[in-house]
Amino acid sequence: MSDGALNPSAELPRARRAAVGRSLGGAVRKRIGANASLTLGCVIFGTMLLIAALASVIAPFNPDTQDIPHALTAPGVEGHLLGTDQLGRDVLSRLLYGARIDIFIACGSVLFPFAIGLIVGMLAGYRGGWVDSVLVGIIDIVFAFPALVLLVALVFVLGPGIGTIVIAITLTDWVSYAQLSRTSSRREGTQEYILAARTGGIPTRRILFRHVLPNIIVQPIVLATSDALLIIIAITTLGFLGLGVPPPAPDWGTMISEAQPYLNVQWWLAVAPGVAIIITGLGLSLIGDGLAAKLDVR
Amino acid sequence: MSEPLLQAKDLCVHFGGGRTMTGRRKQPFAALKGIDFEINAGEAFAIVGESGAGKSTAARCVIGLQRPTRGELLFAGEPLPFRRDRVQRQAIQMVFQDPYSSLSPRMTIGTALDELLRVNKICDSRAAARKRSVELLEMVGMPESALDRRPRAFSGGQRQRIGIARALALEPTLLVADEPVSALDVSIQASVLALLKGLQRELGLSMLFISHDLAVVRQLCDRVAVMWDGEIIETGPVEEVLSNPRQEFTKNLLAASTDLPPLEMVVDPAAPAAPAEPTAPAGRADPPEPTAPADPTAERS
Ligand SMILES: Nc1ncnc2c1ncn2[C@@H]1O[C@H](COP(=O)(O)OP(=O)(O)O)[C@@H](O)[C@H]1O
Ligand SMILES: [Mg+2]
Repeated sequence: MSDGALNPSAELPRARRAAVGRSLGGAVRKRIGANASLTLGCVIFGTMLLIAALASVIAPFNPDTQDIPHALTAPGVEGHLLGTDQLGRDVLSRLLYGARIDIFIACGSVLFPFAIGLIVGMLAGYRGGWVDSVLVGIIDIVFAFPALVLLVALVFVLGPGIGTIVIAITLTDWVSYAQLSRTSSRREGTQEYILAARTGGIPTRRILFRHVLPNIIVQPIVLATSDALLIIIAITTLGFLGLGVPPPAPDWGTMISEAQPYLNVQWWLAVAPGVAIIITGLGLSLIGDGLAAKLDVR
Repeated sequence: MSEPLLQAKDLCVHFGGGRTMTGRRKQPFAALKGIDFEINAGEAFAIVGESGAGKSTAARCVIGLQRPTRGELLFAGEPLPFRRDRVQRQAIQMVFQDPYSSLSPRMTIGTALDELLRVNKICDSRAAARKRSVELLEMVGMPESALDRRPRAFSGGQRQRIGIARALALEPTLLVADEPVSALDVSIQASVLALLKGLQRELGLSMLFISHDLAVVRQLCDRVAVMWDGEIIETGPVEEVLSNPRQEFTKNLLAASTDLPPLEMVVDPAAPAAPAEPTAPAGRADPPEPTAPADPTAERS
């Protein structure tokens, strides 16, 4: 289990982009082409979103209702398509509701760092000077700071929960995006089309959002798609430490860790959420890779 | 002729001053070591020199992209500060060196021109801006259909025409052109130069033309300043300087320059110019002889 999303090193953006290149999505994309891979990724991830949205409609049972006498039933028995867990809760229902929580956390934990990092990095990279130096300093400090320590501290202050996870990930992860967009906006800022916009008297804010932003946004988007998956995996790690999604709310990572004692007999308890994570990951990876290939980064 | 349009007085630019981490003063690099020149109204004035001489730095000072360390610029007798108001900015516009990076890659030509015209309040509606954009493109020999395309759709020569149209959009008095054809294929250089010259005459523009090629300057410009290592070493009317160069360096530069066909031969600027004769390698003129001392920072140009 990795807490990669929470423990970035200075090298991370590059390492991550390389990781995307070697990913499952990348391998599939090589066979089917950028457009098909983008479409397939969107279909997979779209289905996941739909499941998350409709969980309350399609789930056959309440995901939190315990039924100890019927704990650990095999798949298919008594209408439990994927069986029940150690507390007799319907695994399929927990899986469907888990999609809602995990995708919600992943989106929140990607969206905020993405937006904050992108804009801060772009401003600093474009403007340069002391603003840029200050940002680089902050980036280095945050990269050096152990994210888990921050998380533990935050849990004490805010209490465990989805909000805490999103805040903690945002606090540490925005620097990856900031570093990426700082580097590219620094590079774009010296390009002649930006100089032309400046001599043409285009206001700075307009230059940033209409000229610089469209030319630097693709890499952060690709990073975000790989980040989302890492965050879902990271939530599992947090579950182990008791810092994750508080029970009884279902989430895939917690489901896997709860299934550990039963792995040799009731293996489906771990495999089902594992497969869900892999499929979501494949969808995101395909989107990221298709986008990157289509928009021609790397 | 009363007052020159643009005067540069003792223009200096130093790069990389400041202090190191340990607080020691860094030795700044002098890219411009106090140059003086004047550009008269309606005149095409050239700065020539080899790569790294400081030509672009001088151009950037004039256009307002580089703050001079010392010295001043006067425009029509008025001081021209680094931070300029709208009128001062519009009066001086620039054609950039690299047409492959000087157009915003994800914007259509129409959007970019529309933005420029409306931000500067030259046109007040989308329709008016489009009409004006079509006129501008026509001036540089590009069709209306170019408006809906992105830069990627055009060749280097076409892009540079668009770059010229953009520079003219704000109706400048002084046009700065920094090696406007050095990134282009030799076979189309002449047609772009002819276009530039034609527009300059037609619109009565003054022009600051930067080049490393004296043959081009001979055809385009009235007066020339020869730069070497951040200084102007020779200046005067083009014919005078070229036929009777006083400095050894100018002679070398002259020997290295290309033989372009006279521009008058290129009648229609829009037509792909026929390379009249296989010319010497024109892209880059490396003056022979020990000219400049080897400069480790000279890759930037
Ligand atoms: N932003 C900069 N920082 C440091 N040195 C620079 C910068 N711009 C130009 N120089 C240096 O100034 C000198 C003159 O550059 P430039 O004006 O671009 O020359 P030219 O256009 O004549 O080839 C070169 O030696 C170059 O390395
Ligand atoms: Mg130059």
